[in-house]
Amino acid sequence: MDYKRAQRNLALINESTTIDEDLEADMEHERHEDDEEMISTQVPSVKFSQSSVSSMEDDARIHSSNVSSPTKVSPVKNGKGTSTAKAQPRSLIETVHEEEEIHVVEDTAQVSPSKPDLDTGANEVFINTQIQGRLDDFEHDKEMKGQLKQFRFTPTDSQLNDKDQELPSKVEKRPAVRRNKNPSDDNPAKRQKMTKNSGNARAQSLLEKLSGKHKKVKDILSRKTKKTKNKPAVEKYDVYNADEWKAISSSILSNFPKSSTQDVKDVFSYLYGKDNADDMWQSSQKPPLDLVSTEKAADDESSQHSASTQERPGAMRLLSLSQVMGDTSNAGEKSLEIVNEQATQHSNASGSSLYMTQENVIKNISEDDTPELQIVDVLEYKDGSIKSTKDSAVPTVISDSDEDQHSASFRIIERQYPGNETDISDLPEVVSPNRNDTSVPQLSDAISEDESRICDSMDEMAIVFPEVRLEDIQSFNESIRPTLAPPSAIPTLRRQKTELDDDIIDLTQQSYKAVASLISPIKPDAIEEAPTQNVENKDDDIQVSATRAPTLSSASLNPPINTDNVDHIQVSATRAPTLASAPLQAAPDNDIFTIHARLADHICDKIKSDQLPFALSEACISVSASQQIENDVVYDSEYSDQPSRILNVRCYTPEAPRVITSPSKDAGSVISSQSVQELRSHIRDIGLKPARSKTQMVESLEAASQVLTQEGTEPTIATRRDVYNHLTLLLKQSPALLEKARTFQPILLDDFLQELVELDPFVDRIDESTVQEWADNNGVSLKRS
Amino acid sequence: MSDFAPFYCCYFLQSIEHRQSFYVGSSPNPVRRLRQHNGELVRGGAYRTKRSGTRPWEMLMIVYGFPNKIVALQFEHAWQHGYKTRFIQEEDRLINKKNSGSAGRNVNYKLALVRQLLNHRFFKFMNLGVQFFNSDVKDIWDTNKFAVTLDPYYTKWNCISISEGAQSLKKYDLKNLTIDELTEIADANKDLVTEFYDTSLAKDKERIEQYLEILMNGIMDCSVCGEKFDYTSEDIDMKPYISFCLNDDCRCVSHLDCLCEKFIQDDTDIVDKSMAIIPLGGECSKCNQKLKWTSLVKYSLTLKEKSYE
Repeated sequence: MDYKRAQRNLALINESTTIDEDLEADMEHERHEDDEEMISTQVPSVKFSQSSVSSMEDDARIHSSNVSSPTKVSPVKNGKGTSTAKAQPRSLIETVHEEEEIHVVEDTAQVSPSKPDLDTGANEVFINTQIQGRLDDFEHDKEMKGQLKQFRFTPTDSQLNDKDQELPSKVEKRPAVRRNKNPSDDNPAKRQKMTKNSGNARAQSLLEKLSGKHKKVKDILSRKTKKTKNKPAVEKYDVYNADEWKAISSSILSNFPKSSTQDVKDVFSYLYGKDNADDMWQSSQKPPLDLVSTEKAADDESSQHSASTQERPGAMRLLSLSQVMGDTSNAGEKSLEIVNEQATQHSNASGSSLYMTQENVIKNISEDDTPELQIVDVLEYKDGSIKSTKDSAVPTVISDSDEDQHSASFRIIERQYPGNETDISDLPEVVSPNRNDTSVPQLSDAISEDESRICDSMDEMAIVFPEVRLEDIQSFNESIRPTLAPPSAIPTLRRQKTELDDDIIDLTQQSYKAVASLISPIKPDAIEEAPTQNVENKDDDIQVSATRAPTLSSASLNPPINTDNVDHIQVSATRAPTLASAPLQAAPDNDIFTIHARLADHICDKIKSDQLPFALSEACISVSASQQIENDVVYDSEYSDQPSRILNVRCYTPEAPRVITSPSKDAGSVISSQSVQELRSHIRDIGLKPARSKTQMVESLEAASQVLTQEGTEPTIATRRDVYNHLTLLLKQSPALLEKARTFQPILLDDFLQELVELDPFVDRIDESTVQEWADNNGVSLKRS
Repeated sequence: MSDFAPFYCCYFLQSIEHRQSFYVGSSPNPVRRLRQHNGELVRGGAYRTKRSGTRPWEMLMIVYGFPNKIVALQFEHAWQHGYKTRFIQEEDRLINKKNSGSAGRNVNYKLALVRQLLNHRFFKFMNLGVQFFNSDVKDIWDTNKFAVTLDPYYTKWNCISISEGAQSLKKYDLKNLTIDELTEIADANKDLVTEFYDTSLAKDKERIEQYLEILMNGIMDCSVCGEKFDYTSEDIDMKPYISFCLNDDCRCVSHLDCLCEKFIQDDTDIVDKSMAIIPLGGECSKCNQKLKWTSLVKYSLTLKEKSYE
């Protein structure tokens, strides 16, 4: 740019021919003698800006020489005091070349060589006038960057050099100034910055023109620029860069002491609890806490001992579904209980399943020497009563938790169904491994023929009934032996009863209210002892499979036998009896459970012979196969050819509320059951005022249905025609309005609505457009104002 | 002044010279308005009709019988904005866009709009009439290019008519009309409008005078309910709205409400009579003269107003 200016100056000088040689000589002479005087002729009395180049003396001389100089001074072209001196275009160029840091060397190379006559003072003055501002800007930017440097990560030398090289170009470009077309100065970043600034300026000017509010536009733009400035640059780091962060992280890692894994676990378990450490699956696979604690104590001998290991977590029991469901079909049915986590782990390691099945037990017994198994007979069934037996060989688990820290053996507990004498809560809560030298033969010793079988409800011969007294069940079990006898090699697993058994819920021993209520919808309290039946103490023994949906309706299969207003429920014989959709009219005090079921004949015989804890009602019907009703459910083919009887088991069902359907409730229920969109569309169709909330919509529609329906009829969902009729009726109730309408006198809409609202507040819910439409259809002229 | 306008109409203008220029307006005095449009009267007129080359304007037809200014303005607005008026169902609209170009700037479309608006229930109650002043336009109306079926009520009640002497412009070379021809056409048209307007007003005035004369007799009975009324009395209760049969030979008088109820009951087109507010018309109980309801109301209101004077 300066080069161009210099060129221009040169052109101006060359054009003028008025200055004679004498003047030039004089001027040169004068310049030689007094630089300030020459400068004063070239430049008008413009106060030079303070700069490193200029000095006070120079300014004084310049100012004083202004008065004395006779030379005509050409007008200043720009605000920076560019001189248009004719005498020394070359000197000007030279000084620019010498002093200005911004200019590239290339530009000045084209300039003619400077005159040796020029003093540095003249050059200095010229520099002040031409590039003083630029130098000021450069210094200002430099200062700012110097201040910012303290916050920056010291770059490498190469980076510094690059930045230093960039700085001049940035300083060179000032905002809102003509762009430099020199390609060397062209920088995308600079260009962007300039375009932005110029864009802002352009935007400002345009906005000012359009709005005329200069100050406001300025404020808007300044606020905008402030916002953009406040936003941190994406590319830059605020304080630390990547290298710095690396250094910080490494220092942190070096300074913080390392901790052991166990410490971390302890802290974690302390904070979050042991149970939550694992997910549900893992938690379910854990052995009882005593076992865990003893094992861990044995294992962690060498490791640091933490407080959490001394805790005794609760017992974990794992039962099969049939055991939970209380399948009492087979005598001596026993449940397996997972005791040792190690055993599971070993089983896992050996590739077998997690569950301690019979195979796994044998396998583990045979494979693992370290964790020796000690089988304990928990209960022994004798003579219809179940007694708890203690295995003398096995010490009490809980009390010996400390002693058995080193024992890796565990117990596989076999449970029998509970009887009256034993309670599941009496069973030991915790079982810990015992490292006694119990060998495999102990298992075999404990095996008894009766208790060797481990069956589940999947056996074919298993017939699941609502659980009643165990005695009855046991007697039944004795009578019916399962065809599939388990191998004798399977040991009988017993479990020792301990003090902590009170807290354990053993579903095999006895059902509980919690279980009954969970599984069966039948309230145990409502179960009544059938007087003619052998069923006794049914209160807590009802256990119904919760895995199956209710089957069969009550009345479809057989005519209901109303005995004392009891619910009669008909179920399939192959399935556990469940509640069906019977007419709910049971009396509250009736707690007899009656089930209609098709049973095989041999089952009925057993019931009659009191082998089953049920009783056939007097109204039981023996239906042959040919007499089956077509609509009857097809039962198991096994019993299709056999005559069936009806089993009555009385039950109690809570009284269901009578459903009284009222017309208003019907419409209201219809309205309330609609979605918001439907309500909105309904309101729009009727012509009511739109509502925002669903409750308001429902209120409007319900009010409409109540108001708009005729007296003596059931409220129905309103329509637009009903609204029109209602408005007509209201109009007819007002003689004044009616007269006006009939005489085509324009009625003010607001007044009209006000009068109608006085007659019926419901009109307030009607939309004005609806009223207008009604007026159009009936010839009533309404006006808005 | 009574709320029922003695005469209010909506008119349809067409430039005699510039045949593609039309104008729709409303006025209680179509003659005065036409003169304003044509620049005969200095004050008044409309900006659109001031355009050079459009004057003089010819009033092709009017729709009259509006009870008040508000209803007339509603009709005028609907006539001008046939693409969006609420009085024409969206599915029945002939043109749905505002800027439809020349499609909306023709006589056929304007007349079709009139048909559609007259079919609406609101304007049907007004007992509106259509009067043509140009036979060519009447032919176009009869042609019914857009096949808009008019309600049979209008035919039944003879609401569509053409002035006697309505001229046709076919005899003129419309592209090269002379000033004389323009003047001739304009004057003829103005005369027709003036005649119609004056005739209507004169008839109404005459009837009012007759009715007032009858009412000066004192106490009279309603021919429907038999109750007495007296328009000579100072008591307001004795001056209900009454109506006279339009038959000059009958002059049967009755309460307006009684007549209204009678007309509603006698109207076979009304399905739910309990929900009807305004009848379209009916027959006199004595002479079986067909009576338009708006006419009865107009006279009734005028009589009551006169009675207070």
